[in-house]
Amino acid sequence: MAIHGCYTARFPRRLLLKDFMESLLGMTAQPQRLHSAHPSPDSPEPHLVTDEMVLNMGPQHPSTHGILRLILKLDGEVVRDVQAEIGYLHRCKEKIGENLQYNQYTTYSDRMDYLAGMNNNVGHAIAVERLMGNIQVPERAEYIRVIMAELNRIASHLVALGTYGVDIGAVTPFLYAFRDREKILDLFEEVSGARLLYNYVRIGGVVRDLPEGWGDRCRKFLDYLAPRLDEFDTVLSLNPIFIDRTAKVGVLPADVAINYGCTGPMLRGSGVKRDLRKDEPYSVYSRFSFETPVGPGPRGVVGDCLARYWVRIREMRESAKIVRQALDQLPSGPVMAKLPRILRVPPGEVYVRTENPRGELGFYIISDGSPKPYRFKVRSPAYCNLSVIGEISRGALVADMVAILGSIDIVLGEVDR
Amino acid sequence: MNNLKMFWLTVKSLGLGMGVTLRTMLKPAITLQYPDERPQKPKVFRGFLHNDVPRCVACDMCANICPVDCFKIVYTRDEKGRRQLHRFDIDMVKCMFCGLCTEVCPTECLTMTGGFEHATWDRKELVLHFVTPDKPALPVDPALVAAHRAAAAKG
Repeated sequence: MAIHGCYTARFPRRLLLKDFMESLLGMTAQPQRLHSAHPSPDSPEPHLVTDEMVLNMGPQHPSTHGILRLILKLDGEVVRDVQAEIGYLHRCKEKIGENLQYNQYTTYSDRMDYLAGMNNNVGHAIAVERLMGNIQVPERAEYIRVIMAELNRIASHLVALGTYGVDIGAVTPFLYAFRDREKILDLFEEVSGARLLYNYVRIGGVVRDLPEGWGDRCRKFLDYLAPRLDEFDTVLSLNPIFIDRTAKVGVLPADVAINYGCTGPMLRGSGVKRDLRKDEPYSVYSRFSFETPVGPGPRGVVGDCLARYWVRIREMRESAKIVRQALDQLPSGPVMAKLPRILRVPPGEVYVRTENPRGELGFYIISDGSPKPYRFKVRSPAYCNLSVIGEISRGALVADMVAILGSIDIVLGEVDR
Repeated sequence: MNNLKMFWLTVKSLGLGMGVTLRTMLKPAITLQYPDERPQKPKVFRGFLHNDVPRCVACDMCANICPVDCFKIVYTRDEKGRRQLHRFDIDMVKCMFCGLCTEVCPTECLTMTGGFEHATWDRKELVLHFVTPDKPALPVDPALVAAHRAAAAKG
């Protein structure tokens, strides 16, 4: 009995079948909550305290969605400290930007956050347009940009949620999510000719107009998507096992989120109503009505993994709403402004931020008047969101690390750039 | 009592989830049996590049816009000052299929085809020579392929 007592005091308790049956029949008290008993060096049984163990999670790990190394300091199964080691996917995107002409860089902005190429294209295009100052982007092009960005937000969130399910242990929703994302990629392929690296939005507009019947196909897809999202809720979001794995795990308080510069669903999951599409409307976002979902989720607390997940789920419906409104209001006309072949950008500097699926994507460009930027800096949302991981995973279990990392929704192509 | 309720909720959600799976199973499959069935590619698909040499005016615009410098263009001027194209090579290994070159082409002789299945045994085969007549645009040397296959089979 004494040994058993030591065991429960030393390690967080696992749910055994015996415990489950006992609690079901009400024979014993509830199993004690996890994290409750961790001896510190000054605990009554100091001889049981061992050294901290350093565990490498990654660089090759299926749940890091890329190449990320997390150095975990473990005390038993409890995570004491996390250090994220990045840079394995560094491709000099900023330096490349300083060596290319402005209109050549769109094709690289796709490759930063490769799950949301359209959003990156839009951000870069707006940044250069503001720097040039005198460009009138045609109305139709602005609407097409919004449609593409919001469709890409849905596609990106579908990947995020599907892979999150896989991280937690639910494989089926992943396949459903990718099946639906495939339909969005088909729509993108029709307009841009590519399925991942679209290179569709250009400085001054978009490359080409929508093909005939594209709007109807897009509406058809939105009609198809709504019941699929309900299905997704049934399979994953409202599943008690999934909720148990994510609720009250990795809680990120709002003040910590703001201090670390978290943006996007990460910040909104913590209950802060911050959305650049509403707060600083760029493009034509001010003409659409949509909600900004914030945490908490159906259970759990504000800022936990479930809240972040839930914000993404609801954002997909809001994005679908925006696409519908944009399709209804879509004006006719040209899609590209008249521009010289080599862009002449006046000297100056600009910082433009747009709302990516992962948060605030900023482009900071300094021009010295030559065809190439003098300095090109990208503020990537996933990088800032990832920086908070040490703060929110301290005290969590190793098994929950995957849940916490997945809920941040990182894309390593963007973290390392 | 609470535990019984949780137990029931878990069983219920399991049933609901399996119901979705069952409904999906009864729907027709959307899988494309790839080498036998081909996906419908849109007109604007960005595949391998092709240059229609007789229409090419050797203006060098594609080479200037290319972010990765995958063009190698050599031309001379004849007595009237017109450009004579001697060499037009595209290194498809470097190419990132962005399509910028096809947009700036003034005669629209440079296009992106729907081709994407050009796995080769040698990286050099992916350098496309469009002007040299004895080298086809997508060269496949049967002897070289046979040699590589034999080497691969040997292990």
